[in-house]
Order: sequence, then C-alpha cells, then structure tokens
Amino acid sequence: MDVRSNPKTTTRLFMLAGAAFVWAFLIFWRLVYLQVACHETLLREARRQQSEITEAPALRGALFDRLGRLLAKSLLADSVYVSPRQLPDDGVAADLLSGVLSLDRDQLLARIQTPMRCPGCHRPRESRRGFLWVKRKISPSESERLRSLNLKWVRFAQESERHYPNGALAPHAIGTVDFDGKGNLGLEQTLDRELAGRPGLVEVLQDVQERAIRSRVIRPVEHGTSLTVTLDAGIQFVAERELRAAAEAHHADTGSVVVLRPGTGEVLAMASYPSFDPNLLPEPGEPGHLRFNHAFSVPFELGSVLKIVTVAAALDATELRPDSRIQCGNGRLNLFGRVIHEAHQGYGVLPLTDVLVFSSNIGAIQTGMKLGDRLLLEYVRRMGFGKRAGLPLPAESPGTVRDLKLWSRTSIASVAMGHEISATTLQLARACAVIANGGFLVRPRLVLRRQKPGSKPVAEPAEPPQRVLKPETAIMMRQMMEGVVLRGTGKRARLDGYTSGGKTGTGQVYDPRLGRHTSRYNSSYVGFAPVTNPAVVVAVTLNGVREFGGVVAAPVFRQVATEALLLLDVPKDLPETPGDVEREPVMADDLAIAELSTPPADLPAAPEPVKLAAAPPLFPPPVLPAAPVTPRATGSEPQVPSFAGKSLRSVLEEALARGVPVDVLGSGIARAQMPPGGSPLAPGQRVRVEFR
Amino acid sequence: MATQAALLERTGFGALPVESPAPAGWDEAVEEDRLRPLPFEDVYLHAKKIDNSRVVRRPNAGARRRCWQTIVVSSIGAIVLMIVSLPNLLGTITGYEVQELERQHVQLLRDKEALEVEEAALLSPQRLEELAREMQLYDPAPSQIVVANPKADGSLAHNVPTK
Repeated sequence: MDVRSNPKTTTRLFMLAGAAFVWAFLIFWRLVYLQVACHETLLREARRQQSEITEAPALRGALFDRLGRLLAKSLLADSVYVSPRQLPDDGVAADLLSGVLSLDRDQLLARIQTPMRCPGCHRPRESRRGFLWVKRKISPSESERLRSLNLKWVRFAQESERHYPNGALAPHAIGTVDFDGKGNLGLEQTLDRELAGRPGLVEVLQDVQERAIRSRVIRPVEHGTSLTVTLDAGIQFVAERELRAAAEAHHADTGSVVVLRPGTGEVLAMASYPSFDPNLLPEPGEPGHLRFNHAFSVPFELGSVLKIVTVAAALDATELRPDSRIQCGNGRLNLFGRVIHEAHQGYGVLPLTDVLVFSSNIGAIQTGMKLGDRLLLEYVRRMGFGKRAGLPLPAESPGTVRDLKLWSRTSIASVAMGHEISATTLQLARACAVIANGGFLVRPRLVLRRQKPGSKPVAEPAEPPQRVLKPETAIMMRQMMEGVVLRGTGKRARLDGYTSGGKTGTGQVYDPRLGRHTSRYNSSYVGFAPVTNPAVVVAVTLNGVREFGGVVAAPVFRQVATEALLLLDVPKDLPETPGDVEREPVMADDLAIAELSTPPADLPAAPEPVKLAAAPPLFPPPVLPAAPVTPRATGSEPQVPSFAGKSLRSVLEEALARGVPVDVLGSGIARAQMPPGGSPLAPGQRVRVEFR
Repeated sequence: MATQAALLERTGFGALPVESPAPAGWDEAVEEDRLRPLPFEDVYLHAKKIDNSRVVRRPNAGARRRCWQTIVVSSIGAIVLMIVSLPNLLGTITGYEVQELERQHVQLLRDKEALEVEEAALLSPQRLEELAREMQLYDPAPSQIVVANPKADGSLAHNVPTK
C-alpha cells in the first residue's frame, strides 16, 4: 500500500502537523508575550530580586594637629540587625546572638518578641517587628565571629564610629560626637556639616546566593573634609598635665590654660579642668561642668591681671611713662568718700613700673583715674574684652564689660583693678598677645588647613590684625612685665634660659548666696616669652582656690611655657644658670580687693614672704656632672650682691655703695652675673654683669 | 486494526468456545487467514502473516544529505549561540572577581585606617610619658644640655681636610 497516495494518511499527517504547528505557535506566542509585552514588568521584578540599593556611608573627616598627628578619625564598624518576623526560632536566635555579642539573653529575647506598636495610638499590634537593632557598632572580632556563622537571618549594616586615639587630649576644643555620629561639642559640633560629608548610593546586582556580580554607583559618596587644627599635641598635653596637677594640689574647682602664638593668634593649646575622655559616652550623674570649656565659655572676674590693660592704656593715651611717680597713699585712698585700702602692704610713691610689678591696687586706681573712665573702657574693649573672639567653637562667652552709663562713681576704681569685668582665659591671653606682638589685636585661630578628599589642602585665611596700641607702648609694657617676673609677684614664673614677662592676678570670687565676695579666689597668671621676640603667650587660671596667682598659677605658666618654647625650637636668650639658683623670697600678694572699703573680715592674714623652692620635679632628678670646685668662703669675705632684674644705674649705684667692682656688658636690665649673687667675693675679684 | 486482531488472537478473546458450533458458511479451507468469528456475531477478523524479512530499504541519498545538513547547521547554530553568550558568561564570572577584588580593596583600606588609629594611640603623649617613666628616661637638666656650635675650621667635628 503506498502511503503517499493514501488520502486518509495524508489528511492525518496534515492534521498532526497542524496540531504541532498550533502547539509551537502557542509556545512562540507565550515567548513573545513574556519577552516583549511583559518585558518591562518582568525586568523590574528581576531587578528587584537581584539588585539591591545600599547606602555607602561617608567617613567623617579626620582632625590633625599642626604637625599632622592624628587627633580624631572615623572607622567603619558593623552594626547587627534582624527581622523578628523571619527568625526561625526566637530562643535559638537569642542564644546565638547574646553569646557572640555579649548581650543579656533574656533582654534580647524580650526585645525580639515585643510586638509592633500602632504609630498613632501606641497600642501593641498582633504582628511582630520587621526590623530590630541587635547591637550597633560591634568590635571587629565580634563581627568576624558572627559572619563566620553564616546565618541568613543575621544582617549587617556599616556605620561610622569615631575614635580619639589620644584619649583625653583637648576634648573641649576637638569636641565629641553622639552615638549617631553627629557632633555635639567643640569643633565636631560647629563644623559638623563639613566634617560629616554625604553618603552615596550604590546598586549591587547579586545572584541567588546574594553574592555581588556587578555594582553601579548611583550617587558617589562624599567623605567629610579633614581639618588640621592649630593645636600642638605636645604642648596641649603638657598644659593639661600641669593644669590638672595644680588644680588637684590646690583644690581648685575649675581651671584653664590657653597658649597662643601672639603674632598669628594660633591657639597652640586650650586646656580645661576638669576634663573627660571623648571616647567614652557621658555617664549618668556626671557633673554638668565636666564638659564645659572653661577657657572659652566660662568668664570670671579677672582681678589684678587686668592691670596690664590699665597701665598699657595709660602709657598709650596719657603722658605717663614707666618711671612716672604714682602716689599710692601708703596703702590708703579716699575715693568719693569711700576709703580704699591696699590688700596688705602699703606703698608710698611708686614708679608706674612698680605699680605693675608689685600689683598696687591704689596705684592702679590712681592710674585709672588719670586715664579717665571713657578711655579706660575704650582700651578695655580695644584689647578684646566684652566681645567674642570668634573661634569656631560653640557657646563662647563674650564676658561682661558694662557700658559707661551703668558705671557707678567707684566703678573706675573697680575696673582699674580688674573687677566689675568678667572675661575668659582666652580673652586674657588675647589681650596679652597685643602687648607681646607689638600692639596688634589678632583674631584667635583654631583651624589651620582644610582638605577635601582627593584635593590638596587649603590654608585657612587669617584675618588681618588690628593695631590697638602704639609699638612703643607694647615695648615698654614688655619691659615692665618682665619686672614682674624678676622682682615682683611673678617670680615663680621665671624660666630657665628664657626671658619672660607676665602679670599675676587674684580676684575674689563673688558668692551670690552670701551677696558678697569671699576669700576664695580666681587666681591667674598671663605671660609671654621671650621678652624681645615673644613666641608664646600663656594664660593660666585656677578658680576657687585659696592662694594667690603668683603661688598657684605662675608655676603652671613656668612649666607650660618652658615646654612650649622647647617644642617650638625657640632659641634661648639667657645663659643657663648653673646648679640651683638661690632666689629671693617671693612676695606673692597681688590680691585685688573687690569691695572698695575696709578689707573683708574673712581675708586670710598676710602670708609670710615665702622662700621660693624649686618646683617639684616630675621625675627623680638626674645625676648631674660634678660642678667646678670653687674655694669655700671662710665667713669673713664679702658676699656678691644679686643684681638680677635691676637697671644699669641701680647696679652701678649699689656696686659703688658696697665697694664691689663690676664689669658691665650691654645695656638694659641685668640678666646674668658671674659669680652669682650670694657667693663669696674674693679680694680683687670683679663681678661681671650682663645687661640686655 | 492488525494490532487489535493480534491482541484478540493473543488473548484468545476471538477464539470460539470448543463446543460452540461453527457458524454457517464457514469453510476453513477457503478462508485460511480469516480468524474464527466471534460467537453469535457477524464480525469477521482476518489475520494475515506478512513476512518482511526480505524487504530491504532502498538507500536514500537525499535523506543522508539532509541529515548531515541538519547536523552541520545545528552545530553551527549551537556554536554561534555559545559565541554570542560567551561574553555575557565571562562578564558574569569577571564580575564576581571584580566584586571580590573591590571588597578586598575596601577591606584593606579599612585595615589601613584602623592601623593609623592604632599607631596614633601608641604614639599618644600620655602613653609616651608612661613608657618614659617605666624606662626611667628623664628630661635632661639644663646644665646637661650642650649646644654644639659648629666652627668654620671643623675642629668641633674633628674634620680632617682631604688632600
């Protein structure tokens, strides 16, 4: 039988082929429908399953000190979260997570099982949460252990964590961040936007096992700007160390130290006591003033240290000169019917220099009266008091300088002595910088350079200084302030190998509950070194102490200034004094009486002039090489007088009176002598005195 | 149809019972390929044995050619398909590698930054002071510091001029 000629077979074949064709057509149609008609929808679904858009966290900008040493930096840390709805077993999950992350198991289980709350009424819902933070910012070891478990229901998110590798170094100036990485103190707060940067968005294509195949940047991440600040980590450390030691030794409530470069206003150190570690979160119940920047935010009545403004103003605006005679009334002055006394010792007539050197209150009042209230107030404001210095730190206090219309008849006396005016330690340092740099008011700076990621560092522009004193006034003030160190109330501030000048201050603390000033003091010292070309200005304040500025604050200046000058490689301008120099008894009394009448009854009795002892060494003293042997005195030989700090005329007069032959080198003030004062003078021996 | 008949024959369903009479008109000698009819039915089934052992398929050169053509075309098509999809495949594999390298790069950067922080902590002034104290390293006294001012003739450094 021939199949081909059989019509029935042919028909059947065609029917079969037709059925197959229809079937193929249906498949083809389905393919076209899926690949063409539903292309966008299916592609969207596929992308939704395969791709994930994640946020690329922006690293917060780092902070460096002036020499490039790291002060603050952010690192990425893993944070763990789960979806309680998708946990296979609550108990097992709680056991695993609490074991690895060192959490309380029961608390974690309770958090997992806590249902959602209705956003409006806060009543618990039936459904469980879809998201729960287990622990944020875990350590690298915890992250590694948890990842090694390969648990599908454990998810990780990356967050930025701030580190301060130097611990409690300059925390008030640098600042801190909260747990979410937002600045809440210091530079971290003020420059938060600049430091924070902006996170980016990345789309990651991943396979069924959630391994990344491809990634695409939707929005590039912008890391934060890094800042180089003017602080010097070494100087800052010394300032904090010495401030803490002095505050603890003298039971101060608070204290602060500011170190400035007088020419540029760069803040080399800003220390505040008490302090804290910025790496640690605030503890409940910690004192509120722990995080105050006392150098910047807390003003205090300056006391005698403001006499530098009174005297500088008088030199600048009147005919008074350093050797002008000021009548100090033997310690008593009648001012508008009110009798004013010196703190303790009365003086007769003093040259203006000695008004500053011995911190005579009546001398300062007389000088202020000569100046007049308008000029005095003008110079107080010129030297930066009563207005913010403009550092990029939060909560700066401008201090208090009252308008003339609010002054009483005796306000001029109070202001001349440093009362009725409050200022911060930074403002005090800034005012001293005016004298140190030749008469310019500089704006303090804290930021040296800015550097955006991938860009070169850009120097921060400095504001041009403003002249507020004549150059000759500044020079005269420097010499007079050197006298404070050599002969006056600031002897404990004298540096080895460097000339320096300064002023002590002791202002009484006002107690609002008692309604009067007390016998607790704000003791301060402000100074500069060296005298001829000052490289640093250091202001030290200790609040709530019972000793004078020359006793508690001046030694801190000595330690901090010495260290700062060595770190800045400032060449010495004095020969080293061999061995221990016998220093004259220190008159540390520089109390500015707040009440312009009889001295307060609770004032302590005048302290006996104390013999200046060497500051306690930080480390045991080293073994020194043997000093050259000199013949011992038999007792009948005359002793060499001490000429240190005296003018050329004084030295010659004294030498003539005592019959001591002297060889004079240079001019100015006596800086060094050989043999030293107090040593026996052999017959025919001449004393060589060096003046500068 | 033949299948049905063979099935019936095999199952014996078409066999008449022994005692059933032969239907009228049944002539066994004449209709040897006709199976015995179903009882009481007029349906007659025929089974014819066909011996196809001597049938030999005539060789079809056209079919062989078409077969080879099909094979060649299919192979070429498969190869083309592979070539077309190979870049995508390699791209995916490379994508895995790239992502892994990027992950390692990011991890190395993170490790570097962590080391910088650790280095800064090790060099912090507080730690250095504690170490100095433990190692009994003290600041020199002022009299122990000698500033060596170089002299023009090199005598301080004991320089000997070369000839």
